[in-house]
Amino acid sequence: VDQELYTLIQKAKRGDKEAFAQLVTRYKGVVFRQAYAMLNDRMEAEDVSQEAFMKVHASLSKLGSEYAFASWLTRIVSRLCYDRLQRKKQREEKVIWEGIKEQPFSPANHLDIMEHKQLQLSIEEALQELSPEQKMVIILRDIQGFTYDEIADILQVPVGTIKSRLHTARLALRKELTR
Amino acid sequence: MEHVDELISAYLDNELTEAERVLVELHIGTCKECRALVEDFLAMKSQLFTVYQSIEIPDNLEQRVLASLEQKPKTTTRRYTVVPWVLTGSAVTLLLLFMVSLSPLATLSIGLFSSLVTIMVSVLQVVPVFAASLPSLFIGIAGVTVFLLFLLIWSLRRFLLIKIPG
Repeated sequence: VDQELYTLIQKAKRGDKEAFAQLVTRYKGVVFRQAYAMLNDRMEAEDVSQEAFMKVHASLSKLGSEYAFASWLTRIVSRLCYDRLQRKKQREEKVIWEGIKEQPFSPANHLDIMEHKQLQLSIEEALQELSPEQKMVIILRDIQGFTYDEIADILQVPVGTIKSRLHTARLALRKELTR
Repeated sequence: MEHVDELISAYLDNELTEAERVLVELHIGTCKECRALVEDFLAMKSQLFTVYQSIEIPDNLEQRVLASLEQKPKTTTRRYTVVPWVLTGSAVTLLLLFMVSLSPLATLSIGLFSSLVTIMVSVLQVVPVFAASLPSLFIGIAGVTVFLLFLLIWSLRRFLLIKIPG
């Protein structure tokens, strides 16, 4: 099966459109799942998936080894997700700041927020409460099934960092689920 | 040395050495809190996998990607379109020079050229004398020349690297 995949990648690298379409079919599940888990929004996850495959098409000829395809693709999706989250955060900060300026603090609003926080969170909601870096390691390990070495390679950080970041992320997720 | 509880994640992911694994297993046998942590982490892992494995994957993604690729105009760099023109231009110039050198006009041109060279040599002899009398002016002119040279090289580079559609 692996050999078949590497042949497919080689063909796509040479510009074979049919082979490229087959690659998209083969990887769209993992790409979409990673993007959706990171962004928690179907539309955004679809956009990121499309953008990721466009990037793959544009720079597939630069990929050194076919064996590195999965890690390379995951790295592309990771970067696109980080960019989206960064932009979203900046937009939200702007909205919050404008909201604060227009509406002074009221005890009623504060109570609403507190009540909302105390509701039991689903695992998807709890995951969204983590930092993008924590979310990413959990997704790559528990949803995508990469090893620590592979995650370190994808995110370009030492294995030791992955090990401790994953543990901290799981503790944070557990806290979100049990509070 | 890390605390044993910090090894629990790596233990569940099968990322420990044999000695570390034994250490964690011995610890879990005696520590109730760490046993609860193992159980919670295991439940979370399995829940995450199940939840995201069951999400619906868009079935038209291939078509969307291929359609976007069709729409995207193909780009090429001017570098490749300029090279043949440079080669053709050089060949035509050489050919013209060759033809002119065979005609009587060539004798006249050579005479004119040698006069020009003589004038240039005289100007070059004057320049050091002039430079010695006005050093600041000379440095200024040299500076401007170097700047213009760099500007020219930069413009040429940009021109060659410019992307054009089609």
